Amino acid sequence: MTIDEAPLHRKLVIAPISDRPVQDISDVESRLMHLGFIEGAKIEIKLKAPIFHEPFLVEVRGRMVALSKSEAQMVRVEVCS
Amino acid sequence: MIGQVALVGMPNVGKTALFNKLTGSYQRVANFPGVTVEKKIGWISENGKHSIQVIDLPGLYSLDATTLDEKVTKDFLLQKEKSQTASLFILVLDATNLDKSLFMAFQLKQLGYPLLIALNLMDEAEKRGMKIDIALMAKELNADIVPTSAATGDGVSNLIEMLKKHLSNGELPKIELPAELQKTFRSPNYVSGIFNQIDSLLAKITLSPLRPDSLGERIDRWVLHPIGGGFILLIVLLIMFQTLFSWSAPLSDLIESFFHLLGEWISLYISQPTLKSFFVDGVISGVGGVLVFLPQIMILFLFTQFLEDVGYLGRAAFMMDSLMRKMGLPGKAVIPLLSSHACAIPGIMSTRVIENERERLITMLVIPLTTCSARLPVYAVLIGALIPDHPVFGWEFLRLPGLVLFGLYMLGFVSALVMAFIFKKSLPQSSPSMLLMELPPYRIPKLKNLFLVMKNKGMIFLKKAGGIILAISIAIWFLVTFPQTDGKSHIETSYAASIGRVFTPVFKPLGFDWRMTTALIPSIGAREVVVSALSMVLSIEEGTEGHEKNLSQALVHEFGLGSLMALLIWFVFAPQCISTFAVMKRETNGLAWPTLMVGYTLGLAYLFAFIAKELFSFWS
Repeated sequence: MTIDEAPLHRKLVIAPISDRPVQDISDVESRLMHLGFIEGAKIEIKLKAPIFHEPFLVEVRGRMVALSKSEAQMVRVEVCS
Repeated sequence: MIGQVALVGMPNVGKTALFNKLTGSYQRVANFPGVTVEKKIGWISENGKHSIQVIDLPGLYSLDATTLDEKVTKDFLLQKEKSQTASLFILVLDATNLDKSLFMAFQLKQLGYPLLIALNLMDEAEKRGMKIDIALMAKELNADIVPTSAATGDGVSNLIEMLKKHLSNGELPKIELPAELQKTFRSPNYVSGIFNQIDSLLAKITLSPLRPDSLGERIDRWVLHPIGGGFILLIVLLIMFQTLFSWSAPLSDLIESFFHLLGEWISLYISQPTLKSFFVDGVISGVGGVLVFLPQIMILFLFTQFLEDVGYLGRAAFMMDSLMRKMGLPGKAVIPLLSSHACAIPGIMSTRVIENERERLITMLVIPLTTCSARLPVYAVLIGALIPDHPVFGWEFLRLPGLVLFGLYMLGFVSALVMAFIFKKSLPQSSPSMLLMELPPYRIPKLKNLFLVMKNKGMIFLKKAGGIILAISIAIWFLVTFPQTDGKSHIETSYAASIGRVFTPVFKPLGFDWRMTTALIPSIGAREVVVSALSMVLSIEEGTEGHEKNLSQALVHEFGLGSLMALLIWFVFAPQCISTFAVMKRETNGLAWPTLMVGYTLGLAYLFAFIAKELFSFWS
């Protein structure tokens, strides 16, 4: 599942990213990586804005990051067991 | 000048606060060549002499630059152009967020930059219980590290000593970025690799970890609350709106009366009527017409910079984003769009809060459609002439003129949103549009920073837009004053009237005759002037009792319903005010965008005025 489908207030871990050529990685995906959204990182969805069910507020590497729905759909996660 | 240093670092590491501390008030703001990214230049001053130039570069997350701001900083770092680089870079790190800010340190180290690090916000980190082994950190990174606090000024003199030592080492070596390495900046393995290096460095040097910012978390529970947070946002925007209207009005009035008095005082000393008119109606009222914008500009920037420094602006963007994005604009566009209802000038200048260049341009392009306060006197006269003061549906409290005024506001706002949507679909995409951002920490704003921003914005407006506005107002004075007959000016025989007559065939489909087109010419300087210009062409004494009523009656009598409706609608859309054009030229660094703005608003004004004229001529 992706961040927009994942449950709130649960420990999530970012799923392995399939191998792709570097030139296929978009600017937004690059910014996501640089903010700490990388394979194996532990994250938690803190908040989902009420009206349009976006944007999302996600804690990653100790910081709060705001993501729109389309950005949240770029990150695949699993619930930590 | 001994040398040139540049500050680099991630966004929100207190870079600009450190820049202000280093340079004091010796700074100016320009654009980077060819782009609309702001470049702050300042000087470290010793014994009254500017010795070292300091440049505050836009923040960047990584050398894998994705946004325009980041690309500008990257070009600067890589010495792309000889004139656009520095002989020393100071990397600013946020001690309360080392995990994030160390990323750039590892990237610059890898490329072989001699590292001079300002470990900023050190006082705050210590307050939150953090202790790190700075000597070990310096050894591991092979860097010189100076702990600083831009808030208290601690460590700033040490930083100056250290940067002088670095500058005396001579020129920065040419830094090469091989294409292969450039590609890996974007690969997940490379990014994880740097995060691993950061983790192991922090594990080594941390003696006592940072306590979490519990106060910030508690504030966020309120500020980001679905209902409470929305309420807070509404109040913040309401206060902004109110201060912009009510605080700036007395100041603007004061400026206007000062220049009015100055004009009267000077007219006592000049007897030649044309010369008197030149100084009083041309120069003095022109300068006054420029300065009158200053209170609104400075108050709006005091307000937005306060929201930015305190950390609220990012949260407001988070709250507004999904709603605004449905209309093609980012969340932060709410500030320029709302403030433009007072005046488009500060509104256009405040679009700088929007990071994405394309979204900033779209917001600037649609701002002239919102109903600024200069339209109100025009609306008042035309509504007075056209709309009978009847209650609507028999309700005494809701009257037809008020409803029409509300309709005009809505027409402006809705067309701004529709045009934003059209521009979003049609303008080329230069950099990705994203919300993606880190919520900044809450901080107490520094008064000095706020005043510097107010001063800089005021100066930019005066220097870059003031000249054009003054020149045009003098040109307009010339057009309505000459040629004279019997040593007196008559608008009916002026150059303005000749130009008005030339354009009359163009405006005939809208029902405008030569008197209306002539009155439109002085209103290019400022919209509200059309009221006095119409009085002049209709030979109605101004300043007398019942002037507005006389004007309203004369308007209906002379022009008829259809033409006046067309004029009313014309003022909803038309690009009347030259100051908007001048400010947009400065903000977009060229003539292309302001020309597009004038072109499309003229087109809309013509089209809708034509429709209004046809509809109402048919009815009456």
